[in-house]
Amino acid sequence: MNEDYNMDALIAKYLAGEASPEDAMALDEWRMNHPLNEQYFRSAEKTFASVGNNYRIWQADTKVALVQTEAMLRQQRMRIMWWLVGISCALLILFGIWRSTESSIEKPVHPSEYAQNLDLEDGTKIEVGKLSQVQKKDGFGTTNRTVTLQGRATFEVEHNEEIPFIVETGPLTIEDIGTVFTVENQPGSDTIFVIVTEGIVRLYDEAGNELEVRAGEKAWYIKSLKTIVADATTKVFKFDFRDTKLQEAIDLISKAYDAEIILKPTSLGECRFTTRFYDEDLSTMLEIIAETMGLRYRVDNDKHILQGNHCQQ
Amino acid sequence: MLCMEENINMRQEVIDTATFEEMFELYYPALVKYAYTIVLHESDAEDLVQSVFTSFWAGKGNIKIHTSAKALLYRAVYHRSLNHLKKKKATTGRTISEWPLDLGAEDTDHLELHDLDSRIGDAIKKLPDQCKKVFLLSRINELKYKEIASKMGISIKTVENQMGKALQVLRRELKDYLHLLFILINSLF
Repeated sequence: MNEDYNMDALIAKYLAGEASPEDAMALDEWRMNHPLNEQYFRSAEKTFASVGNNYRIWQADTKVALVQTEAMLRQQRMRIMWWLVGISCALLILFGIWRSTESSIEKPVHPSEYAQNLDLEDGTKIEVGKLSQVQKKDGFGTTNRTVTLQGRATFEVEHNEEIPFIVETGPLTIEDIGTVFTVENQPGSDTIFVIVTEGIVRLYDEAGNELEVRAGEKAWYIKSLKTIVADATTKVFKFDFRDTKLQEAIDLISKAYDAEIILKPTSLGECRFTTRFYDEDLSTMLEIIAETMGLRYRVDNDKHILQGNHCQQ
Repeated sequence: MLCMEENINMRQEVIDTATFEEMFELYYPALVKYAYTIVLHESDAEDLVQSVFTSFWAGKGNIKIHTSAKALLYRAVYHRSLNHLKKKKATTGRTISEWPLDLGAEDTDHLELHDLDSRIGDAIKKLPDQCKKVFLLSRINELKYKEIASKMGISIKTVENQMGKALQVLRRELKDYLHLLFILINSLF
């Protein structure tokens, strides 16, 4: 007990809502020092509460309050995170504006606002995704064939043994060895995705990590870990049907996915359609075909059935 | 307990979730009680203390703590409670000085006691005059110590001592009776 205090006066002061933080701490310390002190306080509190109507003796549920407070903390952190995301986006936009007004050795190939197909002077075709940007390095086509990428793009490269086509995206460099490949490096993402559709590409970074990725393989580059992760188990299929007979398309898809696909009636196989699929799963593709051609799609005992009356295309 | 308090006495230490829970469980009940004595509203008191913990924790990376966590929490709860009262009074349009009452010395007997149980009333009557008046102004008229001191022309320290004395006497007088009364009061809530 703190001898500097008149405990009755201190208890009264505390109960009357007049205690300073130091008073309250001194009283709490005194109460914890001995069970009799606590008993004395409780008795005084009852006396205090028995006169007047504004003071009630009650006890908070600490466990419930802890759960509530932790939930509030989580919400607060989420709000802070969204603020940071917003600020980061604003800074990125400002940076983009600044870069676009700067004279740079890199010449922009593509503005970021729209998806677009580009044909470069070396014969390379680039399908640049929305909100993505590809820039040629100064001297492109003469001393180098290097581009930088922000966002997503698919490259169909005209191979040149003397000057390799190189994509630089963040810390990762992708060099083509005669190929079609897609690279995705979104702002704020810790992962760069590389999917090779045809040929081979070589990935490497400044830390000396290197990996060759072949057709039908995917690879990830984890920026924070400076690590390239290969995934050769998942094949990537690309179908480009242009006025193709449905039966021919179904045969190709069946073979690729090792699945049984049935047309009812079989005469539907003569219908023609045009569409592209890239790295889609089987069900999604068949649903899209059914939707496009006015058919019904269902799965029955592992058999994929497309059914309809006639061609609607 | 003291050992745990020392552990939680943070001087720029790394605070983890486990420590947060320990601190919460250790200090929350006392802090809520303290806040309640000021705001006199249970859920407001709980909200205030919870908000102190959340801001304290959310900002822990940005502040350098040069005092104990306990002192920091008590001070934060104190200031938030006072601010809460100010806002509440601004909303209701009343200030402390406007609270009803102009009580002369002769009126204190009159205050007594029609609302109080006769045992309590009898015990209050036994208090010395100044002590009784201070106590009733505080408990029945809900005046702050400063207002009581001003009204009675005495120092705040005297008000504190008289309140302590009143509480001591009443506690002694009502010792055997309070237990029953407390059960009765709680059954009403």
